[in-house]
Amino acid sequence: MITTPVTPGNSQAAGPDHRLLYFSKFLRARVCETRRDFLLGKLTDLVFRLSEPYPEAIGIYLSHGWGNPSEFVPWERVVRIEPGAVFVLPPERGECYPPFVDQPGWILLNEHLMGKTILDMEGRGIEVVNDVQLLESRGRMIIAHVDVSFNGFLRKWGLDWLAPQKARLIAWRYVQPLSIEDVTSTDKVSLSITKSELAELPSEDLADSLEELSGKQQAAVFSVLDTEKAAETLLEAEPRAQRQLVASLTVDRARAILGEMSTAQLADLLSALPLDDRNDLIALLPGEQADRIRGILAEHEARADALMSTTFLRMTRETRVGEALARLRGSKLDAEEVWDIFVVLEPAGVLLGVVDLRELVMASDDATLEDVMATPGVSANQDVREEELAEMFVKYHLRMLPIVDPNDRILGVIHYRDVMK
Amino acid sequence: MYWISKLIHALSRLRRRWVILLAVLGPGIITMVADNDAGGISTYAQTGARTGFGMLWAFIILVPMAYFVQEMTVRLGAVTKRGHAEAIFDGFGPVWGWFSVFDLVLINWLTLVTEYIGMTQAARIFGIPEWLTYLGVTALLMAIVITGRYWTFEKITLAFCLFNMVYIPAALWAMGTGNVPGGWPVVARGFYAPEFHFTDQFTPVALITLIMANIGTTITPWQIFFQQSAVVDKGMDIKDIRYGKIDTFVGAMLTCTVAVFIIIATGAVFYYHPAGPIPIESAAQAATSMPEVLSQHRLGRWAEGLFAIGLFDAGLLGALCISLSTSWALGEVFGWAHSLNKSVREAPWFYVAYLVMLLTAGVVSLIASTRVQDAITIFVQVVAVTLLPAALVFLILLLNDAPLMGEHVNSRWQNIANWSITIFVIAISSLFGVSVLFPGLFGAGSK
Repeated sequence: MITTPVTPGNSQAAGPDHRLLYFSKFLRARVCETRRDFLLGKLTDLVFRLSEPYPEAIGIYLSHGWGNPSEFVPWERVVRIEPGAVFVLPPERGECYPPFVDQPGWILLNEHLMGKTILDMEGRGIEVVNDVQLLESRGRMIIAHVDVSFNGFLRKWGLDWLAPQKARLIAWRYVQPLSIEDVTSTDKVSLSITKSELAELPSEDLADSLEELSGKQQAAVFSVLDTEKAAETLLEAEPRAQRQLVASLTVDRARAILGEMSTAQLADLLSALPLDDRNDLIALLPGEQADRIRGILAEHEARADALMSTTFLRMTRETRVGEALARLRGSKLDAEEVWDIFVVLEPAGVLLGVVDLRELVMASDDATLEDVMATPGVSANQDVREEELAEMFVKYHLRMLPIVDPNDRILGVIHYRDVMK
Repeated sequence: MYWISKLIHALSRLRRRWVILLAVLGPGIITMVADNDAGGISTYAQTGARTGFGMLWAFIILVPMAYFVQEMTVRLGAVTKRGHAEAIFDGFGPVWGWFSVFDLVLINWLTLVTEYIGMTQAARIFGIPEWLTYLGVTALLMAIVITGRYWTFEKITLAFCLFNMVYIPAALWAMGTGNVPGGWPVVARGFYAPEFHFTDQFTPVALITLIMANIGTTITPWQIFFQQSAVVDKGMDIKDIRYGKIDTFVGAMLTCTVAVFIIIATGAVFYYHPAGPIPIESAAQAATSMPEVLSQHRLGRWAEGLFAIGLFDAGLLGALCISLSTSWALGEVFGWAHSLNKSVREAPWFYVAYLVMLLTAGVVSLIASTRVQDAITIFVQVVAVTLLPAALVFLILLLNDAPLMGEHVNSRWQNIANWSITIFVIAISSLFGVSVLFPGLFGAGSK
């Protein structure tokens, strides 16, 4: 707890015990010693220490320019704050305060926050910090909100009397600088979000936000995502962002991210990339998949056998529901891949019917799959084109579509995400 | 009945090909038709009035020229997914990149002024005041692009391309007047056995200038930038290149057909006028002279209207494509979001650049005196001379970059065709630029 010497009778003691102030009102304010006539200089920046839950002011940075040494006034020495002027106690020793030396975990409001792009977790969008709202109480000062409205911008230039709209404030807890520890970028507080929170944003929103960031910032945000999230985000991004993100990937990372995608999704991504990048990425894929992708890319409408996935759950009709559920849990498949279970006649694999996961869960453990399966299920032949597949998904409200050969033997399945874009 | 099912199968395959082709059609046709802009129409009107049908043969050469140059942009865009400005930055560094973009913006802005002049002149014929045309046209041009979808822009623009065809009925009517002794066979002779009647006003030097002007208006720098950016924005991929080439060829045929019909129309009306040839300097002048020249026919008013509509449409298409090519190029080099598939909120600078181009060029067209307008016309040619050769050479060099282009790198025959075109264009456009700057250089008679 920092205690501040409070001179009796100052405005703070008379007023309410806390005040909200805009940083723009301080910028270039006069910094005076307790006697108003002794001017130390103009306030260049406010220094805060990053701490939970709110950063706290630790001093005032005065730059005198022209090669003169700067000064750093510790917050303990600040006595009183008025519009346009800040009153401080004289230095404890000597004529001047010591020069400012940056330290880890410190941020300078003007330097690192004002005008910078932030990711607003709540609004899920990219905003620009036009002003910072500070909360002053009993001699302490914390960052309460950042103002992203046009107002803040006007205020900075002293035009706030124009005030066209209400302030749009984002609470500081939704704006946490991650970059200071994590990203060795010159743009210090460009990314304002913690890793764990980033993973909670839907990838669609993340993709939208990434599109608005510059190349370096994009790469920085993208680099902290885990592989699965990165794959989803990459697929959701628009072509230009996809190109930039792919260009920034290392080989190992690229291989891992590609491993999260289905063949159809890969083909979709690669079709948006320049030829050289495309060839680099195809080279990272296993040979058989690479061939299928080349096939899809060369066609205007891919065929079902190129788009289908061969990972799916197939069981015999005598299987009990309880056993089916146990095998389903033990299968380690992605949640996406277990919407339907395909009931087949082994060993040829002739498709008999389809069991919806919901029906499986609702049925009693003793029932057989034959009792609960829908038959005849909807299926398509391997030479059906993409466009017709998409029509089938819409018509039958499918999530998965089995692909069969002319003898009704199951070859693979098409997922919703593979044909519906 | 086996053959029936086989036939049905073949037909459905054919139908699918057609559907794909129709989906891909767009960038090539728009680029080529927009090339017949206000300045182009004026050049063709002048050509028709001065040489009759003597210049028609040139368009047999211009179709493959335009096709070969623009076809390269399709391949480059579909393979690299980059616009032309970005491709130059990546391939040749910032110096050449900035040179190209600066030149492009300058020449585009100046050309845009001429498009506005064309449109206001055309609207004047219908009694619409200049400032109203300016505001209306700018609003319309903004409305076309602001939908946030490339698809909408493309379809609206293709509809405007159709208006370019008004010159075909205009030419048919002009031939119907019976001005031309001998009728259509005389037109046909223009393609294989042209004749020129030189006078004191129309010297061989003036003829060469006219040839140069026709080439200069058919191959322009902004077309290269525009079509490549449009191909990228449309999301065309390598597999679409085949159809993109058809698109470009159809466009090249269309633009030259329209040019030929403009020349036929103006040639029949002005060159073969019973009272002797009437010199014409601009498309607007051609339109306004119609009622007087064709006074004995009721067609005069109609011809005037058709010419005015055609001129207005040409200016509109030109303005649209020129501003867009600028916005795309600026977006590419400054890293702004630059796509017609983005809303104004998502790509603000892209649309701001577009609007600023329109507003400033339009204002200048309103306040500029005739002398300033003439100076602009001359300046456009000069800047084009510096940019076009560079753009063509860069284009060919990029198309020969095997790692970049893969199997779509220029073949030997494509290189032979493209280098010949480039050298020819450089020679012609340099001559043209010099002749515009120093009219006295090639003899006193040239204008």
